Order: sequence, then C-alpha cells, then structure tokens
Amino acid sequence: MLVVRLALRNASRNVRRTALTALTVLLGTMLLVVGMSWVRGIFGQFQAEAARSTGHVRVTTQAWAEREQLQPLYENIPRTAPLVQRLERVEGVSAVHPRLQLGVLASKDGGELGDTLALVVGAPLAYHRDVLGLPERVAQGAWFDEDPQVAGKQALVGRALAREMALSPGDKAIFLGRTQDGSMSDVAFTVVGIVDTGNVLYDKQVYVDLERTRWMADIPEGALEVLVYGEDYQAAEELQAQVALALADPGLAAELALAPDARLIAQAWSQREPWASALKLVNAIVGIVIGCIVFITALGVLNTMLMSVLERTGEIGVLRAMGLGTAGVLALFVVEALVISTVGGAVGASLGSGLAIALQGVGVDLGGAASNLPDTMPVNRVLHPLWSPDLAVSAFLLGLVMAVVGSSTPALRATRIQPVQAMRARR
Amino acid sequence: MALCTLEAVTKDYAMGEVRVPALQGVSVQIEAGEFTAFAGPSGSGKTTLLNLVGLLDVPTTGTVRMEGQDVKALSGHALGRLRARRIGFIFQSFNLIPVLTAFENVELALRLAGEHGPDNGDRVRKALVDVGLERFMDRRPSQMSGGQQQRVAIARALVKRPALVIADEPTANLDSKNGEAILEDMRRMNVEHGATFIFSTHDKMVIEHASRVVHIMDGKVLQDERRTPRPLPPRPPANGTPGDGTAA
Ligand SMILES: Nc1ncnc2c1ncn2[C@@H]1O[C@H](COP(=O)(O)OP(=O)(O)O)[C@@H](O)[C@H]1O
Ligand SMILES: [Mg+2]
Repeated sequence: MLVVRLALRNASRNVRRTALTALTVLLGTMLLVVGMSWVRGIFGQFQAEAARSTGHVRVTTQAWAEREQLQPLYENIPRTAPLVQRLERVEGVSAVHPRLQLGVLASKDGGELGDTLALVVGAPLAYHRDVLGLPERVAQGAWFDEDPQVAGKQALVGRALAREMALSPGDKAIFLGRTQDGSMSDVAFTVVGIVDTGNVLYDKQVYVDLERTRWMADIPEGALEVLVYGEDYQAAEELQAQVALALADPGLAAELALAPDARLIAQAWSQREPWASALKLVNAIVGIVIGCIVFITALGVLNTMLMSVLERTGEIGVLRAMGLGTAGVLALFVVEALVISTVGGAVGASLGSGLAIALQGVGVDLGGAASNLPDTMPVNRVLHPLWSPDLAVSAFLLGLVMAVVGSSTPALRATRIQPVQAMRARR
Repeated sequence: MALCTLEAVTKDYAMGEVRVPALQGVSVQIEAGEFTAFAGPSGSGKTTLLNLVGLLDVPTTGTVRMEGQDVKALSGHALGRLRARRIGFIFQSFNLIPVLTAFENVELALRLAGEHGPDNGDRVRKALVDVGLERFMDRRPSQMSGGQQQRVAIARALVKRPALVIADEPTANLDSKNGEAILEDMRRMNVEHGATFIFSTHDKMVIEHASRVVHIMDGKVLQDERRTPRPLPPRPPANGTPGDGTAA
C-alpha cells in the first residue's frame, strides 16, 4: 500500500519524463491496435474467402485430394445426390453443394480457338447465388434465366476474364475441356452477365450450372467435390469431425457408386494447403511483430525509468537505510511504470481503436497491384482493417507487459543501491 | 550491556587500485542514553564510523555489536529489519522523501518499522508536535525551510522510538541559529525520551551540547571525553521561531 502510494506520487513527479514514458506506451499500444486490426482484416478476409470458395468442409475422394493440381477427373464421386442428402442432415450443416470445376481453354465464338486458360465453376445456381453472392455482383447483363433449360446454356463471366477476352453480355464463348476419360470436349455458352466480384481470383472465373460441366466432363450424376457449409467458418474443424462421422457409414460407397478402392475424405478449409501452412506462418509473423513492438516500447520505458533510478539514488539509499527491502524497491519502480502505462495504454488503445474503426469504414484500394497477384489467391481488391474490442483489450494488456518488461531492468538496478548511499545523498 | 560496541574496527575503501584506509582500528562503546559527538575534521572518518554504528555498512575487519549481537552474522535483509525497528537516521542534507508530506514522511518510518497500529496517526502527529511542526504537517519538503525539514527528519527518526539515533553532521546545511535549534530539539528528545544519539560534527558550538565527545583523526580515536553539556534552555513556544519559514 505504502509502496503503491509512493509510486503514484513518483509518477507525477517529473511531468515531462512521465509524459515521455506514457507517450512511448501510447504509441506502442496504438500501433498494436491498428496493426492487429489490419492483420485481422486482411487475413480474416483472406480466410473467410478461402472458406467460402472451398467450402468450410470439403468432401472428395482421397485420390482427388492428393493430386488435384493434375485434375484427374476420373477420381470423381460418381453419384452425389445421396451424399448431399445425408450431409444436409448432419448437425451444424447449413448448406451442401456439389461442385465440378474444370480447367478449359476459352475462346470467343469466331475468335481463335483456345486463346485463354480459364476455370469453369460448375455448381448448382444456389451455390453461385447464396455462397458467392453473385446476383448482387452482376455489373453488366443479367442473372441466369428462370428457365433451367435456358440457364443451363448460360454463363456468368468474371470481370477480368471478360475484359481479357473482350466478352460482352450476349456474346457466345466456347470452352474446350476434357471428359473424365481424357477425350476432348467443347461446350458453347452464352454470356448472360459480367460479374465484378471485387476479388482477384473470382474475377478470372466462369460460373455455370452444374449440369453443364457434368455433361462436359461426362460425369452425369457426380462431381469432384461436395462443399459443406456451417454457420461459422472458424468452427470448420468441429464441423469436419461431424462430416467425417457421416462418411464412415459402410453402406455409403455403394450408394455413391464409388470404385471399390476409392475412399472419401472430409477436410476443413483450415486443414488444407495452402491455408494450413499460411495460418501457421501468419500467426508466427504476427507473434514476431507484436514481440518487436513490445520490445521497442519496453526499451523506451527502460530508458526513462533508468533516468529516474539514477536521479533518485540518494533517496533510494534513504529508503533502504530506513529498512525498505529489495522487493519494496522493485515494486516501487515496476508499479510506477504500471501506473504510467495504464494511462498511456488506455489512451493509446482508444486512439488506435478510433483510427482502426475509421480505416475500417474507408478501406484501402489495392487497385492495379492486386490484379498481378497469383490466380489462386482469393484476395479482395479493397482491404479493410477489422477492429474488435478484444484487440483494444489485448493491446492495453500488452502495454502493461511493456511496462513490466521495460521497468524490470531499472528496478533491478535500483535494488543494487546500497543503504550507505543515504549518507552520501546530496541535493 | 553496552548498546553498541565497536572492537578494533577497520574500514578500507577501494579506489581503483588504491586502498583508502578510512578507519584504522577503532574501539568505542556507546551506552544507552548517551548524547555522543564524533568530532573531527573533514575526511577524518566520521561518516564511515556512523555507517558502521548505524548498520548501513560492514567493517573490513573487527567487530560491530548491536545490543550484544554481532552484526556480521546477520543477512542484508535482517540488517534492514533491525535498522527499520531500532535505528533512526538524520542526514546532513535532510533527505526527506520529496513527494511525501511531512506527515507522510514520518508515517513512512513507522510503516517501514512494521508498525501498523490504529494509533499510528496520533504517534506521527505527536512526533511532529514535539518538534514544533503542528502547522506544517501537510507541507512537502520543497515548501519548508531547511530548519523545518531537519525537524521533520528528527520526528521521522524518533517516531518509532528507536534504541539509537544516528545523525551525520545534522547542522552542516543550516545557519547557526537553526543549527542551534536543531541541536536543542535533539537534546530534548535525549533528555525527555531517553533516546541515545550519536552525531558527527566539526563545529565547536555543536560539540558543546554533547555529553561525550569522541575525537577522531585520520581514522583513529584521538581522545574520548565525557563532559557536562550546556544546559538546555526552556522549551520554546509552539510553532517554531519566527523567520523559520523563509530560511534555508
Ligand atoms: N565511498 C568511498 N570510496 C572511497 N573513499 C572513501 C569513500 N568514503 C569515504 N572515503 C574516504 O575515507 C576517508 C573518510 O571519509 P569520511 O568517513 O567521509 O570522513 P568524514 O565524514 O569525517 O568527512 C576520506 O579520506 C574519504 O575520502
Ligand atoms: Mg562526513
């Protein structure tokens, strides 16, 4: 109690120095709030997109999962309807969509054949509508026709691809792909609309009805993937456990007409590469950056607290002479630093929160820079930080850590001041 | 039993390669109730000697006993506790804690002595009244004159009723009038409360107040004389002397 009172008084003693210490912690915590909200914004967006485009949990054959870059179309699930039905009954599942994506050579009707590589996303229109939210993204033209017969021959084309191929609504496009046994297969589509998804990856794809890619790949009732969605993509690994349980039914293989040696596997998005590695990497980088900020701020605290210790040598000697123990001297300086950083940290966390919330509303447009990113990254063109109260709280608590770390060295130094210093103290 | 005993004590300071022999075989016994001056010129070893008697430092060779106990056997922590409970300090530069008021400075000594009784407040107030500072209890050191600060220091040293009070040149930073007043306050504490005082000085006037004078020269005891101190004048009126609030 006594030490706390003394520490409080000491904190208000040299106003400029205390302000300097507080400012150091203020800047540190502010940087933490803004920085962490950016990390969360960018990678949160990144992860949400990854989970959205690849399913919170994805069911495929094991062989497909192992070699999907090579697109071994014959490693498909030959009949998906019974699987979808079963998975829809699994607890926590909100939607299930079979998907059949095909890499194709695309050309505008009348243009040269096979100009451009593109990915055709074949899925139920409900997937394009509910999961990808494409109806709101139609920039030119229209959404698929009401008549399934007509809709089946229509395609929505991503903005970037449309520009590359100079496609407009109403144009005809030819996609050249393969069937599951390797023969060439070409399909013509009418461009019904151009979609501006705001996402670099999605803007380079073509969206069509599942039946059309089934026909193209000659997998009449199947798909390569069955995507399962729950309420929260962060809880995908719990959902994966439920889905895996449903797949364990021994009768399922026959119902789905799987080959005798084929096995189904369920993977949460976060368990699949590159996300599993990326998540680890991001967490490591975030840890290092936070560590650096805490360390640099602690150095600032160390600097000012050390000045205080050196300046108060005689006084500490007097307290030691009067019987204040080592623990008391330690506490005297650590508590002083804590008091100062409580104020600095609270202000810093508040200012940082204000800044992050303001930036969250505005966002930063990557513009042209984003279009050069690799096709496989679902990066949004406009990035936003994502602030939440727990970020402010963690930054504030880390501010206290800075105070303890920064003041420990000066405080230890103060404990080495001997009681004889009291006699030599002059003012 | 003597309150405090020094037997053949030496103290060397290391100054780089050179050893400075500050005390060269000092033996002194301090009895309870004495009002002892260590007198000698600057550099003679007075402060070094007080450091040993006050348990702030340990001798290079020789033995220091406090109330019969050899202090060599005690840890730094135990020495700290002993100082906190049994020894009061008065310093040449007053050395009050600048961020605490007079009251709090005195209270601090009680708390560090491990006393947390409900009468602490009364004891602190009484100690400050005894040195004529009842009107200055809420002032910080920077708002007081040197004489007033040194009175707070006396109250701080005495509030815990220590066995021994150590004062290193307590009047050196005061003018002669304030110095005289401080000495009289100390003497009054000695007479009225029976507190044992050891102080150092090189001032003839101050020596006249002592009941025993140990003359120090070049780290040795030159002479140990017992004498009749100058009689105490009657207690001055409360609230200190006029002009006290400005000097320093
Ligand atoms: N910490 C120290 N380091 C080195 N020499 C010291 C130290 N303290 C005192 N001395 C030396 O010891 C001698 C006695 O000093 P001190 O006890 O302070 O004398 P006094 O108090 O009588 O002036 C002096 O020569 C002084 O220079
Ligand atoms: Mg001295």
